[in-house]
Amino acid sequence: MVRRVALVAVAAGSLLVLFFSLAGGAGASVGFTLTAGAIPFALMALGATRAGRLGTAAVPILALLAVVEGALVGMLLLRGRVLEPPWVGGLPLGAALLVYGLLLLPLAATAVGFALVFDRFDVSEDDLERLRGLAPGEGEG
Amino acid sequence: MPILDRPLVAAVSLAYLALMTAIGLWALRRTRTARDFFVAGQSIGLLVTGLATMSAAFSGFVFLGGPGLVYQMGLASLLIVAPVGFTAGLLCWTVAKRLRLLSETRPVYTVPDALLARYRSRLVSGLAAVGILLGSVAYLGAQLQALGVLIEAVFGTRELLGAWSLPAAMGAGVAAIAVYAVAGGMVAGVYTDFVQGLTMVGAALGVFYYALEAGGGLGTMTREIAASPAFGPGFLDPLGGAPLFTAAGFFFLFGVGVLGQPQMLHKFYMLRDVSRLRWMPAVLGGSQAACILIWLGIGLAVPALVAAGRLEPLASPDDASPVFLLQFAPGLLAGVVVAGVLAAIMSSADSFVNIASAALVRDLPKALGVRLPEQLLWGRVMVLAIAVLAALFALVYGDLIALLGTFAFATFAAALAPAMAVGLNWKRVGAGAAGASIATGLLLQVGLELATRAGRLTVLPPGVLPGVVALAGSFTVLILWAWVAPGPAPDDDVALVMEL
Repeated sequence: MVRRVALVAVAAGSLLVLFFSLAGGAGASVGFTLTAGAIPFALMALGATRAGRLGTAAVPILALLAVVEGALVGMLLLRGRVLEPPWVGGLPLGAALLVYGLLLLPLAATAVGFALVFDRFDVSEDDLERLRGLAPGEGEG
Repeated sequence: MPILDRPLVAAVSLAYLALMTAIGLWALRRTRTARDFFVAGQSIGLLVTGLATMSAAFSGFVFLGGPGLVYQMGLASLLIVAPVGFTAGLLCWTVAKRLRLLSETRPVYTVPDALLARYRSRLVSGLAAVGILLGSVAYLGAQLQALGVLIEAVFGTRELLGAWSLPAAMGAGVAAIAVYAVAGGMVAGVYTDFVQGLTMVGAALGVFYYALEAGGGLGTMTREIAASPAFGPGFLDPLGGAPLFTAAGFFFLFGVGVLGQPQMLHKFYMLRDVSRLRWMPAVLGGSQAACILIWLGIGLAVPALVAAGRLEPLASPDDASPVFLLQFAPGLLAGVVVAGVLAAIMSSADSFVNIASAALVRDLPKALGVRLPEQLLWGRVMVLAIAVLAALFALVYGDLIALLGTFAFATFAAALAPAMAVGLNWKRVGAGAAGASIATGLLLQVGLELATRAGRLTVLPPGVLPGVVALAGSFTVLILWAWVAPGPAPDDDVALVMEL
């Protein structure tokens, strides 16, 4: 089920990116930005699905999606309002969303989130033995 | 580029080149088989793999072109590198483990090897090999050209050699790369990439500190820039300094396209075991973010210094890094940064020379149903031949190679990302869907890019990047084709790799 949702999201997202890119215009460029920002996380979900379920991986992936889309929405809303307060960490709010919201926060969330749920993806020695047992013979691979 | 031929800079650069050569000679003794040569014997730990992946991914562009791009188009340019916040996780979740596990059951050393195992189609792996070969030679030529220009600037060869300066400088660069790539293949490549990665991170952190100091801190710099008539508030607007389609297109292309970059994917085969991936996003993403500090630091400091009247406006945006280093960084740090740039260029060039060699010695013969004997010997011969060929190509067709180099990332992305990222996670994808996706990506990317540059393309609205259309088109074709016409089930071992 999750795999199907992720695939539909990647396919629909790609089609929308194509549509917006060919349509052009201000409205299309906003739709393009938000769609393009979501596709990486649909791909993450596709890769993280095991036996049709995301399990604990749903938490970091959904959190990342929310952070990145939130930062993009914020940057879109703040276009042309650079001089308005508040400034954060020496940067106008839009630029701060780029540096802290789109780069540093996802970096920390990805690193910690992936490590915390990694046990779900780790491969045991039994799995490896089973895999090696299925290896094709010489000349077959 | 301004002349950087100060004795200290030249000395640090020479010492650095000598160190790389020494690593190559050390690796020679550890390279006995094709497996050693192409995937470093699959014995590499987390830190080395992570830093080597980072240094192969980040070329000299991050150190030289990036700050120049900020000077030219403002903070919107940071959207090219902002995806590194999550791309390491994306790689690990979708492809890294699958690639490493495939190599447990089969002699899978390259991206076309993985595609052959997954789709059982020599056409698919052959198409991928052709795309990789073209992109690698283009990328390599662009790196060698940049290396030649840097060596000219550091050692001041232009005054000495005149018209022969660039060929001689590129020849020196090819010789340095060839020594360690021919001798040690990926064993040398991965350890030189590791040292190069450390150098890049150290240089970036040092420069960021001095950039903040020279500019008076982030707040002072941004206020100077916003108040300046030359730059203005728009410079600091991440989605306002460039067309939205371009800025967000960068984010999409570099955020998703990373899944098709062979110079990065190749490194995952070398991991000692899969469990090392747990902290890969931290190491890879963290080191990439550290390197980006040079982009942000110099990118903000130079316009702020120009705005404050402490620096003359730049003759060319690409002068941003050299001018800052000459005027505001201590001599030793300038030397380390130049070594860092050399490192970035050489590590990317080394990765591409090895990947192109593997495409010629392994992937294309396999696609044609031929098995080349003596792969280790031929791998070495081809490394040398490809490096020389790419350098000659870059010298003769300088403009063309620069053009090809700039869109090689998008070419790899559009051709390979869907077949790798979706194909390794969805069993319905068959050879037909993968082949159609690779062909669509290649044709759209090369066709749209050439037509756009020739001024003959009016289909795309202003600001839309051809690579974005090619990448989205390639994904669409793959998924729709697989839904309509599912491929046969993969082999048992490949199916298990996709389930684990």
